[in-house]
Amino acid sequence: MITLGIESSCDDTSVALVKDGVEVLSSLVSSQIEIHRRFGGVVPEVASRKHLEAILPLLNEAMEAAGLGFSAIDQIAVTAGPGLLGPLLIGLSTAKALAWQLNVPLIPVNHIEAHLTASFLAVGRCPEYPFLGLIVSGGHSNLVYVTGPREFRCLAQTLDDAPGELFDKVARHLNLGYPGGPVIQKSGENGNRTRYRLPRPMAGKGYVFSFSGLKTAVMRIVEQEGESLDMADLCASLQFAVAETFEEKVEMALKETGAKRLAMAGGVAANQVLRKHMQKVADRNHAELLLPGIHLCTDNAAMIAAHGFFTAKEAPAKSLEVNAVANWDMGGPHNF
Amino acid sequence: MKYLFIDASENSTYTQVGNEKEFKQKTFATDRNFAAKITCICDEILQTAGLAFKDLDLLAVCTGPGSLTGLRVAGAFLRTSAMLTGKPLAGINLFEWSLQTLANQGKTGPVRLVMPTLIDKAFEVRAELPSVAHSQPELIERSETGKEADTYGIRFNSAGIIELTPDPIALHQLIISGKPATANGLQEILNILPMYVIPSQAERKFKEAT
Repeated sequence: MITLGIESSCDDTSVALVKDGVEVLSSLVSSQIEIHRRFGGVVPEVASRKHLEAILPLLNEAMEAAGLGFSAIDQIAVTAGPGLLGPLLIGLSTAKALAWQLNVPLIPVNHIEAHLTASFLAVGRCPEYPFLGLIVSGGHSNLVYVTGPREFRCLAQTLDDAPGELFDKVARHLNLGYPGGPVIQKSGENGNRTRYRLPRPMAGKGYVFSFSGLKTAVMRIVEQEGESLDMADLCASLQFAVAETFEEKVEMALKETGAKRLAMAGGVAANQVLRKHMQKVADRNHAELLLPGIHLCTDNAAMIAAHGFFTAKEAPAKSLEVNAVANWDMGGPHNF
Repeated sequence: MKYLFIDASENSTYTQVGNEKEFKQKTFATDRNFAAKITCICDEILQTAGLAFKDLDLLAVCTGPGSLTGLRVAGAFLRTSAMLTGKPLAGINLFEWSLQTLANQGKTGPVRLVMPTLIDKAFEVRAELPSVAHSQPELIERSETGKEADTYGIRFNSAGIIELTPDPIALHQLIISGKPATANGLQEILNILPMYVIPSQAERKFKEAT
């Protein structure tokens, strides 16, 4: 069963072909990162224009890379949300044309749910339920207990900023560049993680995240230190604070649910400091950590195709009439 | 030659299907739900005309100016359909469609067309009727739209401007004439894009701020 995946929820246009939900035949991403870098963030209107320009050439390249013709496509999975509405509509409209013309099923996919499936796709396995999922990105900070293809129990989410957003805002404040995650990781590589004392937000307060206070604390340090600020130490300290924050909540969830698998997903899952901390917490609790490679952490269509394959039965009968939706809770109903 | 045309430049979606002899039209009250309904819209207008998609010889899409989201959704859908089926895709902008409308009314000589865009700007083009060829759209202040005689506002009424609604007969003639830019094959299809303000408003604001 060949599933074509299409992703355009933010600033990456991506097309992939996946066989039986576990074997990536081709997966291509056209990034707009250079275009948006000068704005310090993604501009939806600019992103929408670039998606429209990029999607057809990318689709053809993906077919060619997989050595397949369009008639080989059995079903089409497309991100229908959450994300930026303008960009989402480009992928959705393209997918609808494909499904309509090829007369194959269209499977609208929740982008965040797909990030978790990416952890299993990375090792060529079907998702094994139940598992604990941690989604950390520019827009999300969700800890969920997953019991089925579209069955989620949200354990914790952020009250304000997501960790990727925190990194972006701090990097912008420090003039380090965009996106914030990779530049903060790079700057903090040889830093002393205990040099600056930063809070562990919501420590001991149960299942809840909050990162805006951490941003304020970083800015206060920048102001206090002035010329003597050590950028490497600050970046290392910030990553340490973020990683320890997640470590506490994840450990609590592993103990309470008894989950034996922990899947980490989203752009911030590429952060090396966070990965090391998650490995430690998984080991301590005799759980398997499923970490997608870097290319499957960031937005990609392979995870959309894989998740589409595993959730095809949950797709609505009139999926060609689904609309894109900027906010779509994991496991929530499709938007018409 | 059988064609299907979609105009999603406004809140409602206008469709037209025709051949050399006749055409049928239908407007759908899609509002912000156009992307959800696009396949239903195509099915319904084709059914009204008693045609199947495979019967079509030409796809045509309105390239604006107008609702950026609507233009992009129609563009993405018809560009993909054209690429998959090998059918040619014509991009029709509202300036040439309006000029054909004026030519049909017997107007000749120099004419100026304006159409609002962004918050305070308008597109301006010039042409010599009965030709539908026009100058490159320029961006002017909205307050300057009514400053010249023989100025027509496309779906736009303001002081010193004659309101003009592009009509279905003119569209039909334009498509059948083969005058609009028509793409064959992927490389040419990539050139059929919505008519934008370039750079975008966001880019312009960014430039002003820096």
